[in-house]
Amino acid sequence: MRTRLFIAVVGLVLIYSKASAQNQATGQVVIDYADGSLFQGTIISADQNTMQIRLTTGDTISMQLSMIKKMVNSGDHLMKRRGKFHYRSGYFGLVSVAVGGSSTDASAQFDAMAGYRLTERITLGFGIAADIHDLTIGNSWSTFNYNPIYGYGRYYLNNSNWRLFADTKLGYAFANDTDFSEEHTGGMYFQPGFGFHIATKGKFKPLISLSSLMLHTKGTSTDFWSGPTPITHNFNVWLSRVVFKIAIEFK
Amino acid sequence: MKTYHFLLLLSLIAVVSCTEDFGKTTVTYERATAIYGDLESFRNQALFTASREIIDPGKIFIGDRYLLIGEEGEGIHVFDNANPENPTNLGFIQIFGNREYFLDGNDLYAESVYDMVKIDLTNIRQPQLINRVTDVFAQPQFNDQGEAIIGFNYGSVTEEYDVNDPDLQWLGQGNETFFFDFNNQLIPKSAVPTSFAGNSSDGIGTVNRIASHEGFVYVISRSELSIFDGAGAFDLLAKRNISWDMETVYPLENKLFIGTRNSMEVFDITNPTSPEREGTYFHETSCDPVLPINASTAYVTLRTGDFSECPGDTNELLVLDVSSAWNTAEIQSFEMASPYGMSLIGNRLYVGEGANGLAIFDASDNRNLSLIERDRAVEAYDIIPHPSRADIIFIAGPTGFSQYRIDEAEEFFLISNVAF
Repeated sequence: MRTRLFIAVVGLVLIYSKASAQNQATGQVVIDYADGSLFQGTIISADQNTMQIRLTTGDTISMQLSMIKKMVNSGDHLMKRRGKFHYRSGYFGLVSVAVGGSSTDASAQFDAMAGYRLTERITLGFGIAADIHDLTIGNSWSTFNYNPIYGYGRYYLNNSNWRLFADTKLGYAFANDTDFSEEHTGGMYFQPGFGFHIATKGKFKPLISLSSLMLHTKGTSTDFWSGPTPITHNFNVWLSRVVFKIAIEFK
Repeated sequence: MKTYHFLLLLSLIAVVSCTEDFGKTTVTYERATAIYGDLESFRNQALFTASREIIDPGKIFIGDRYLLIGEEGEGIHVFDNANPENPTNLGFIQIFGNREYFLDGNDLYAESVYDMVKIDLTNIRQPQLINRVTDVFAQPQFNDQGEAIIGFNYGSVTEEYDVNDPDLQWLGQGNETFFFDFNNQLIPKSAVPTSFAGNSSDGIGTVNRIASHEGFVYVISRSELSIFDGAGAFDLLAKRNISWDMETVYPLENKLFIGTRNSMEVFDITNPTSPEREGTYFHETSCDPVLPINASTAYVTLRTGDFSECPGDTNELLVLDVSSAWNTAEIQSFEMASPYGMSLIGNRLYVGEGANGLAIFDASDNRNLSLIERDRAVEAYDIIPHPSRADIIFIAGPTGFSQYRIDEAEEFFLISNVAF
């Protein structure tokens, strides 16, 4: 009884919001029915026991409230098959792990990000990462750590179940350690890439992407082992790495 | 997909395909530049020439009457020390490329770049070459003009490279700093920054790479031990790759004590041409002269310093029990400033500490040393007693080779100095 009352209230609110916002998307709902059917349409009216919905096909049907398992506002969702969907708007968080490198050196990256879906296609955010990059110059091999702080932008190129997107980060990577034989500075940080955002039925949406990580760094490293005397490098380089990233975005 | 989407994706794929770091690196290192010369003409140069100024002093030999002072890479200065208060420069023995030599009686054993020579000094003004064993340490390498590598110039170089320049790999393999393994096979320059005692007619110094013992001559490069027939025709009898970073050799009874940068190794030379390792005592990496006192006790100095040939932070004098070569044990250790050579004279152990002076230990009980004093007025790198006069001591310092008279109160009085 309580559930049915809640659904009826939600339905009425959606009707009202459709009328007031004159937004085509508002009032659109997706209903997960008890028999496993999924309906998408606009709520026309509702009482304590039934709800009338105009489906996206143009048909109008009446549903028993007791048979509705779940109803969500599809104005916030980009619905896909089998109840899977992408979010169209709102705030989100994201965590990711990425590995990759250059032809000679390895890289790893751990990210945490917060953002906002500005439009259906454009997402903005900011984040912080922990980066580990090997750097080989000649026979001098070093491992450097950084903490990039960055702004983020993502643009979706389609609305498929696997949404293809292009994205980029832009910020500054802070150096966070040194050892006795090497030191390094932070620098500009830029990471364009592309990937897929995968629709799910729940709040957690996986992403996979490939990106080019560019990080400017300067410093010194000393090779004590190549000969009788050490070889000192004063380097000024852009790290250019390709990384494969797996991420989870949550509403 | 819209055209601009496709182009955007294509450009991103292009960006992502760039997988090489780019930029510059400024490299600073010590470059070894080969020096070429006519090897045969050097091998055939006159053996004895007029006296000359000491420019770059090396090893020192102290005889009852004569002093020999090495000139790095050139040969040996000969001084008549009949009057210790006024040593006289007699002439110069030319041994091309020489750094290390050892005098046993009238027989002078010396290395000469690739070769070992034996020279008879019975008449010191007319030295005679007994034998030259050629190409002992390495096979000469020649340039297109037929000249052989006769040495290297070392100089600090700063160069800028693209970080992906293949020359950086070449440099990183030590090719510019070490020139393959070639220089490794030759007798390296001593880690002692100035002159140092090789031996005297009475004893052996602690920083030798050449030592004569019961008719056999032992020569160490960084990794190889070469054994010569000293009593006979001076032939090469054997070469053994026995260790790494070897610095000093000291024979005593049927043992050969080898000092390396991180160990003191003991070899049994009961069979003189086939040394058998008996034991190894490992220590911090350092420059480390070894002074065996007898079959059961040895002193080792460990010296390191930033920006030196022996980097690190260990400076110690160790007293070791070597009675069991299988289980060399530390008896005592003394923190030192910068220990170089040392010498046991009577019941006193003298340790030269370079710019930090001279440390004197009471060695009445040679397994229980006690520090008597540090004399910072004397800048000493090595100390060696006069072979026949107990009241005279020789000290090699940065500005010359000095003779001191020691009185009964063990005070030092400078009596002469051969300036460098």
